[in-house]
Amino acid sequence: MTAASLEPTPLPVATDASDVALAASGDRRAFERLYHSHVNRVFAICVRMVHDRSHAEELTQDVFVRAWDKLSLFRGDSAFGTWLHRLAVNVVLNARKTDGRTRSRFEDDGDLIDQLPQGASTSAPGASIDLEAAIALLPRGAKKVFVLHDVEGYKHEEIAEMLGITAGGSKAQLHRARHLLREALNR
Amino acid sequence: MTDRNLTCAELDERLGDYLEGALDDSSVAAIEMHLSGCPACSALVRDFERITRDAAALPGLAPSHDLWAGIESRLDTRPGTPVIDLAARAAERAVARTAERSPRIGSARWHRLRMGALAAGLVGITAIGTYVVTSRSAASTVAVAPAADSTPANQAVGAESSASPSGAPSSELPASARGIAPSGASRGATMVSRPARASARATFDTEIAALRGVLTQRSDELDPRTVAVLETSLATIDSAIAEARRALQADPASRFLSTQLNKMLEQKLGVLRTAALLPSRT
Repeated sequence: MTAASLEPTPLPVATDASDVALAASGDRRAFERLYHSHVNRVFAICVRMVHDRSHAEELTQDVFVRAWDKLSLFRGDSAFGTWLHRLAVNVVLNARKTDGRTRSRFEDDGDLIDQLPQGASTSAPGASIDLEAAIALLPRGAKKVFVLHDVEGYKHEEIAEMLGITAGGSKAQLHRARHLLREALNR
Repeated sequence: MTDRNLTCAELDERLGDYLEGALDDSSVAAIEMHLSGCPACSALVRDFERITRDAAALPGLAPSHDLWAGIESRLDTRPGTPVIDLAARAAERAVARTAERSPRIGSARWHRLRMGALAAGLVGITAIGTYVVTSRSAASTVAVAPAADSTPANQAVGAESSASPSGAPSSELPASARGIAPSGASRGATMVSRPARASARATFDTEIAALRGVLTQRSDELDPRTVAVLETSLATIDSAIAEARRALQADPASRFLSTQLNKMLEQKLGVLRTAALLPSRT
């Protein structure tokens, strides 16, 4: 993947709180500030899950439109970023359930991992790009679980609930993903 | 102990749990014993640890262009406003704090808490007032019910949910007054008589005046930067309201202008409600 990456933006939690309140009352400028604070993380979730920048951008827009619609349901029990990221995951998963635009690269055949360039290593400079490329070419099931667990930090039980699988199935897919990534990155 | 003779395959099977610290001490000891004598498995563990570490540190990714314009064009006029929930929660918090700390708090703090509770109460009362007036108006004049999207998320306002798609019924009357999320103007086909609109606007005006008073009283308690942002937002909305009123005077029969005016009044009310419930500076 050749996506331009940015350093993680520190989440301005205190500002989020007031902007969330203002946005919930209809202040678009406040919501725009929230968008700018979180768009890179949201887009990253989308693009890592679908590996199609154009589709990921559509989904990112969907996430923020949905967030606007559902701001009244945000109760502040978690950080706004946490709530938004979970919403992003749900939007991606729901879109993929209903999306007729099946892409061959999403098929769970495992062959795409072979397309990785030789010699990629996570410890080399530019490691994140190499890992991004390797993740993008993972089989669909393994990729979803890897992104949710190792990148986004969800637990197996949460992933199982999101994906409609068992926690054991989530562990198995994660294990498979790590093996495939290791193989690709050490090639 | 049977784990002393772990094979590489057995270690591989347990590796996920090992990395997550989900194994008991004896299993961990068996794995570490195997690792001490198996370079291949040691390399596997190191690689897995590196992959998980690097994955957790992956940065955000920027879209190819700013998506805001596309998002903004799809936003409804305002999101579902947590009118009654917010008020109730603020009131609960104020009461809880008072109960917890009343023996120790000073008079100034007590005053702030009391103001907060009063503001929360006022927000709740004004919201209910809007609800009652506009509901009556709507009940007597609504000709066609809008095609509502009655998703559980919309029915359960106040219950945090992030899984289901959102949508909501639409009306010319303020969505916040009905305690539900609003939607685009094109979704409903509700008709409301002009007297009802006037009644709803009178309610808006009353609420706005009351909440304006609260904001004025609380201005010393709030962060000046917050107050400045609020005042700027209110000035922008006031300007739009004035423009809509002028246009409506020229074309009193325009449903579009009437709807726009109501939405702007509703927006102003939302900002004032939020302001009334903002926590005091500490």
